[in-house]
Amino acid sequence: MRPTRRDDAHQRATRVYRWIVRLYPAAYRRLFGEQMLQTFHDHYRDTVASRKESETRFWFGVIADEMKALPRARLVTMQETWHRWTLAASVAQDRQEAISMTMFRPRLRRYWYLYLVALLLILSVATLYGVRKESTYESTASLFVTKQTIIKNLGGTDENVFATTAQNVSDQMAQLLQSSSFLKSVAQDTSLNVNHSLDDPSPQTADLGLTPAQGAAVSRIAGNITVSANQTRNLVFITSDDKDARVAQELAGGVVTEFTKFYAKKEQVTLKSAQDALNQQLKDTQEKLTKDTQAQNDYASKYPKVKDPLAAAADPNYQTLVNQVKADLDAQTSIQSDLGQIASQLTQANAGVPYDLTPQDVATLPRQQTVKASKAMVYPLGALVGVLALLAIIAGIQTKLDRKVYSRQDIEGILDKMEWDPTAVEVMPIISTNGGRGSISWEDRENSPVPALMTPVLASLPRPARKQLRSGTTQAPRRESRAEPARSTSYIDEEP
Amino acid sequence: METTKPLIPLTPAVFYILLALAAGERHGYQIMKQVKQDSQGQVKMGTGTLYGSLKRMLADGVIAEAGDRPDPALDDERRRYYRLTDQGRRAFEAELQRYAEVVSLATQRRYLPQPS
Repeated sequence: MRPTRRDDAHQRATRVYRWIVRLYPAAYRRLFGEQMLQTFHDHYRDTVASRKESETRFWFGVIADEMKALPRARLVTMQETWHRWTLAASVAQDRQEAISMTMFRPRLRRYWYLYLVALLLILSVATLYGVRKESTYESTASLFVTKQTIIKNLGGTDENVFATTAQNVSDQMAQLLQSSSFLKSVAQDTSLNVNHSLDDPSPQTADLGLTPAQGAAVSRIAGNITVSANQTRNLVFITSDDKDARVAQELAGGVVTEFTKFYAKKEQVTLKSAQDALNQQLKDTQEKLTKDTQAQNDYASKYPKVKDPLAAAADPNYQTLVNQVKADLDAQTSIQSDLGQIASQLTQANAGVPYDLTPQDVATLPRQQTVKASKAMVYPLGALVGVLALLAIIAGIQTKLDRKVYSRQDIEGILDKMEWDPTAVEVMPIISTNGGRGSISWEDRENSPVPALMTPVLASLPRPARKQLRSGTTQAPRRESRAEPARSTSYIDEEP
Repeated sequence: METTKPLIPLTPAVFYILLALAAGERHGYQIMKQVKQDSQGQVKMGTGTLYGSLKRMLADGVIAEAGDRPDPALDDERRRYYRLTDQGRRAFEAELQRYAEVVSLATQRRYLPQPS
């Protein structure tokens, strides 16, 4: 016989209600699911099917009722579950047992693959985000550093004598990169300076600090420029990165330009100071030379025999005076040579070209993006720490709450209310966990010598008693025997 | 000894369910219909609300399951029947007694309209 339209509507309504019933907690569904469907079926047949009520009105009533009943059922189930946890934890008493009694760990064990999938998903998303966020274009320029022998010999620098020259230059550059005004100067050399937006509008404003546009540019490049020194080749590498390949290239070049300017100014000061010192040395040497020449001439006037080269060579005093004058002349020549060199360096430095620095490799336009692994890894690691922290907090809160200990009277009262009989495990709703202890699970309870529901109670017993119970060589503890000293004192803390 | 004191006063839903079951064993839909009829439509109970109340009442021990069997008036499908327990009956009677006392008090104080 063909089903009528009314039968179809009835079946469809039952299907819809079956979906609604699925929203109820599993335990609730096991108890009442079929009955609810049967009652709904009867209700529908008696009202809609028999045309006592319109379908719209019927469903309006059903939905309104379910909106009240469903949240209440969920809430009640949660309360019941919580009640079982706290009771189990109280009975178990021991901290480790209390933790294992929480729903978290058994669920973690049972649905470990779901947790693993969720964790992997979170880590994958965090990694992808990190890779995407930390993928930048990278460009590198380098500077060759010559040894400042003359200045170093004069002690005219404030550099670390234990580090190489390149390392000293690298340190100075790294220090400068911490300065926002230096970064601003670098940004001004790049295409970030659109329409001269980064130029100082007026000296007053520049003195007061950065303009908003300058601040934004500085924030963008701060931390994106790194400097390193090659110890053996006296090279300093400047590496910059940015989302824009062109900006990355310009940044490395900008740092070279600005640092070169800075270094030239610094060299001017150092070289000028060295020049002054050498001039003073020259003056002193010349004065000494005059004095020593006079002494030699006086000696020759006093002892004319030294005009004979043989006699002069045989006179040690005269030879000393001659050597002294010769040394003075040598020193004068050396100082004059240094002065000449410094004058040349100073001319170069005054022109803005440092004598000790030479650009080696020019920054090139990067073609491919580079992932900064160290930075990108921060995201999945952060996510992992976050997830673990969250799990720890959940476990901690549950444990703390589960550790809320009932007094002996409370437990006795609860067990009385439950009509607890350990041999009849079906009516002992202490805990519905799988494997509260060892390998005993809810599913295995029928085959196990010790019912899973008794696990928290067993855990509180002395170890030999547990063993006996597990092996089935003795009877499960009966309710009446809870007063026995061996057990009663082991699982209940008397509250003051 | 069990006591009914904590259950009193009963909520309207529980009271009408007990009232419906006082006449005998009933299944879910019969209870729904009886409640609507007894309350003259003032207490409307959907399927969700009904079983939420039945769950609480089963836990409180005022009702119990009376097994499965078909409803002769409907069809041959089996339905779960419920019945009052002794504790439920005591709670119901205690609630009726409370109502009677309230009505008596209201009558004494002439709060109720006098029958003409």
